[in-house]
Amino acid sequence: MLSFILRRLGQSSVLVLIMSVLVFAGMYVVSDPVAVLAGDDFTEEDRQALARELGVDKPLITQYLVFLSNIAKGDFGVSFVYNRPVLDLILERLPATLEVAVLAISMGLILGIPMGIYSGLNREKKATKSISFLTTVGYSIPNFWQALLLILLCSVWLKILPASGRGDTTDLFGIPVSFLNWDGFSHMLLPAVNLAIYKICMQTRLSRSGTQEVMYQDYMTFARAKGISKMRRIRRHLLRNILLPIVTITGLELGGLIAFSTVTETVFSWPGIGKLLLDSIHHADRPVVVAYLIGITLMFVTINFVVDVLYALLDPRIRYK
Amino acid sequence: MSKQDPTRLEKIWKAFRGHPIAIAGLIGITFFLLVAFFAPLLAPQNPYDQTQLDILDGLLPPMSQLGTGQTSWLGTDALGRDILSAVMYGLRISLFVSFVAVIVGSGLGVFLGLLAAMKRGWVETVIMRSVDLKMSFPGILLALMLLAMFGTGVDKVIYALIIGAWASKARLVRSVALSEMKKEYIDAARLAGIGNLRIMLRFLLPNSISPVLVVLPMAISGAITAEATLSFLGVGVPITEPSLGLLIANGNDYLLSGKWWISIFPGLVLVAMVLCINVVADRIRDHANPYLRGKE
Amino acid sequence: MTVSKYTLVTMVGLMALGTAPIQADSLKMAYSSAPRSMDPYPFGGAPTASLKEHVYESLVNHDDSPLLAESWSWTAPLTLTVKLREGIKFHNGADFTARDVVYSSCRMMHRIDGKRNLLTSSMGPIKDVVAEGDHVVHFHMKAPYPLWTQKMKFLSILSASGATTPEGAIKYDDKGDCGITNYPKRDQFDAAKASIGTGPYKLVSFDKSGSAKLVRNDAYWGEKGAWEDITIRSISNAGARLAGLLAGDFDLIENPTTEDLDALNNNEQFSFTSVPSWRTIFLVLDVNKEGAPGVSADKPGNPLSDIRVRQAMSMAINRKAIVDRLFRGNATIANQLAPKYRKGAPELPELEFDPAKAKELLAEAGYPKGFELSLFAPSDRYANGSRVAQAVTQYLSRIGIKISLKTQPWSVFAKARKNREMGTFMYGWGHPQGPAQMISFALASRDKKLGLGSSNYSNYSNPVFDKAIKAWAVETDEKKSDAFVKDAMTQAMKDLPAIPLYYQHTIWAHRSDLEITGRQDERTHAAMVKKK
Repeated sequence: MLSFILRRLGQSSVLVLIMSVLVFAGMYVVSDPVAVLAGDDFTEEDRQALARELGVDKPLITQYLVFLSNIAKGDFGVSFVYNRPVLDLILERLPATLEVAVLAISMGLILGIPMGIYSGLNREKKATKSISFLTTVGYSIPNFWQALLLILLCSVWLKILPASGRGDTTDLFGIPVSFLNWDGFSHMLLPAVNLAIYKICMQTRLSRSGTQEVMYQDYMTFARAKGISKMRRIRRHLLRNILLPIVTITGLELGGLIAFSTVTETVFSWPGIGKLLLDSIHHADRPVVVAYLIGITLMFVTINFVVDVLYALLDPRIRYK
Repeated sequence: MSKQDPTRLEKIWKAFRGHPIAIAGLIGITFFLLVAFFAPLLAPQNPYDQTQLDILDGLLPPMSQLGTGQTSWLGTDALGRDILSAVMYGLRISLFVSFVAVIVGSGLGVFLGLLAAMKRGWVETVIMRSVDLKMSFPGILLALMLLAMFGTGVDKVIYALIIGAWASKARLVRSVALSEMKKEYIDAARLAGIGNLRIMLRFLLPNSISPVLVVLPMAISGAITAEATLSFLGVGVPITEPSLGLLIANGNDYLLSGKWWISIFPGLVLVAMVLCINVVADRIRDHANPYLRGKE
Repeated sequence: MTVSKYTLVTMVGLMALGTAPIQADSLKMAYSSAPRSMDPYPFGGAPTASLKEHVYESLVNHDDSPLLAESWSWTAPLTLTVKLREGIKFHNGADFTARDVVYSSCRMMHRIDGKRNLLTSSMGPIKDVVAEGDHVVHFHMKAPYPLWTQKMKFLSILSASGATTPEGAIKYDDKGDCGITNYPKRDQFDAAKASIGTGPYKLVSFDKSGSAKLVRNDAYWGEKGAWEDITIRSISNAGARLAGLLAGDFDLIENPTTEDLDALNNNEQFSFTSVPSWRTIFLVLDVNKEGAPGVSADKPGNPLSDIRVRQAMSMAINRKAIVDRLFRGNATIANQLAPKYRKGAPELPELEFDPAKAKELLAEAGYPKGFELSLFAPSDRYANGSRVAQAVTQYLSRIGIKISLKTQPWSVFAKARKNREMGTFMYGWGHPQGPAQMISFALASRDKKLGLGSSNYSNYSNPVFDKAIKAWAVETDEKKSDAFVKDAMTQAMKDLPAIPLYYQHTIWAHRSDLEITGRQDERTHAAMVKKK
């Protein structure tokens, strides 16, 4: 196990390095910070001066090496646009994204798994057919359109939930969070539901198909023959066996929500990191984008690692050399 | 093949017999495919021909008359594009883009996932870490890079979606294939001297592909919506050749002002099409599953 | 149809009360993009300026009239002497004097962490700023800089009491050192500690997400603010912004989309105000004889270099249809590159719309079958921008030009523009600094000393035009300056290296019991909002 961890650590460092090169090159290809930042009343000389100050007048390789040496010193750089340290920018926006992502994933699991197991066990019932139809409709509607429909329904017509922004926050260990007071929580609901709908549908389908397959495995028949009660069969045999794909997907989905809830955060003006990423890409704010994506890469590497370990625990046939 | 064996067509029919919803889905898909294929013949207007469009015809409600005297059954958008024609052409683009992207992307993903599970070692490492890399790389930045380097175009959107599609499939297939690899029949096949490629295609693939088939309809609808999202973010297909997704995104702006037809019609077609794909896919999956088939 | 009892009660209640009256004297506004900081100098852009103008004032007002200045005159060709208004106090009670102007100039030039302020470019040609007594300031220039009388609006005036300043007069230098070591930092401005101006409102709090709270400055020297307190939030999504207005979260929002105006028209509780702004939207054509990127024809050379082709393109476009249909009348047809209602803009004839004649002109120029052209437009920059680009595509296609329309996000577009990769593109230019500033950048031949031609992506060069614009660049007399603008603009509209389309309007959607006067510089300020 230890050598496995060490090996993964080594791979991850290489991965992060490759990521930083890709993003550096990517942002260079996409945009020029001077072109975005310079006002219309900048003369050619003003533009050159701005490029010098941002450090983007040098060749790309030099810029990258400067960036690496700064990282080594623990300096992740300063945003071109906001002129503030990028870590500050990212960290102050992270809690907002985290709480919505966790809420959405929880909704997905809490509603999705029971519905999925129910559908898998009761294939011919009316409720199953309705669930199946609803999940299909659920993930057929583009996320951004769904968001607009939610705003139209809940904020404009029914006027029960606010359409945008974060609302009041409560400090929890010095971190502002929304879910601890009603105003904040009500602001969280629409974005979370918007993110959750797709997750609910997906979890339902995954656990349904898992259930269907597991139900006809010999050990289930055997367990039934042995007279083990239904609830116990579901808990001990079924759940354990369908958890494998669910764990993989949930891990990755949570990562995805944290990293790229860009559309939802944009439509609901939710001040999270997804919106920061989109804005930064559009404003040619390379330091933010690079630092952000390095952080995201680290996160995914960790999630994948945890998922792999869980695999080993859940499925004893997989062992690591 | 002996004479008693059912033909392929008979096999397919067997899968659908007695399942009216699945048959309806099949008919639906056929209908949408035909409409998409023959759009240039069926559509009252060529929405890509800029000389045929007139902003003076813009934002007409359904059943209005265009400047040319034609009736616009489903109304027009701000540019005077007939929604019915635009939906037909948009369907074409959306189907083409998503099918190509998902098939190529998933095929690639499945192959790499199986390869990773079979070869282990550095091959697995490279593949799985590339998956990590892709998962961390935002689609919008990728699409922007393609846009900045190669300009706008339907093909660039397909590339972006292919790159978006393969990774999750590779991960999924590998996880299942790893379990399969421990099973006795693989060892038996190896002992029988069957080659790696044959083991992969003949044994591993059929036994590991089920989770991918489950997510395939999702992948197709996902690709359609991903394309729509890219359009929503301004990096999708060219705006003069709108896909269903772009039509919905455009109509988005008019949702609050009561001009529902611009967004709703393309939206309904999109949902209907995905629904058809899904019921058919569900049927095929259930039928292909030997445990379930045994019950019928 | 049955109406539930509760609905009925509510309806009766509404009829009796009318809409709920606006709460006390609070105003809640939603901006369409976020102000970056309360430090007045590092950032340009309308949102930051909109917010900071509540707190800080400049010598000249947004409409070019004197504000903290009482008057000014060019006492020498290179010296502008400004007489300051007397009896004005800062939020902290300190008197406003010439020393504060020098201090503010220093702070503007000062580099924080090695980075200069984005607004510093407006101070470029200034050599020295000297206080004479308490209420006179002299600006000495390195080169003729008549635009300074308008650009002074970028120099927000801070109180010198915000820093430890040396005894006696502050000595200006263009590094901004001025013997001052402890300039307040951005954090202090954002924390409402250093945000000491003379404006009608005082900052209570500023949040990095672009929210701010302000209270009325009861000691304001001019007309007192109409609002006791103001809350500003930033919501970039137009749909969400409008939903916030309809849901009662805001009293006023910036930039609703044209499409949403219908919804507002049908709702008695809300209405909108549309005001012509200083932003002109136009097409830039690369007239380089050798060829232009994205332009190809079946004979050698660049079709866009032929004046007849450019005239044909201008004639092909139905500006009235664009304004009426795509903007519902909330835009104004352009007949020149500066807004015709901008002070100092010349009177010029309307541009013709005549597709038949356009076709003839194309044939005359040797392109009876048209030619191919890539038209670039930013997709996320201008209101209705993508749609206007498509409409232009329709019109140009009809006279036989084969247009390939390429819309791109602003970041990609801006880079391609800077690298001169686009032969034809759509662009918008605001004119806060008079009617000729844009053509001096975008159409003049390059002249480093006078700062001309830095953005000449048209590769346009015309001696008559250049002569007029060079004369304008050094002319401090308003009448003569206006005459030069007229000469230059007339020549430009004859040659059409850029084809004007329309002038944007700024639109505010608001509760119908509010009255909005609006501003032409796309800013949103509480002073333009009154209760009916």
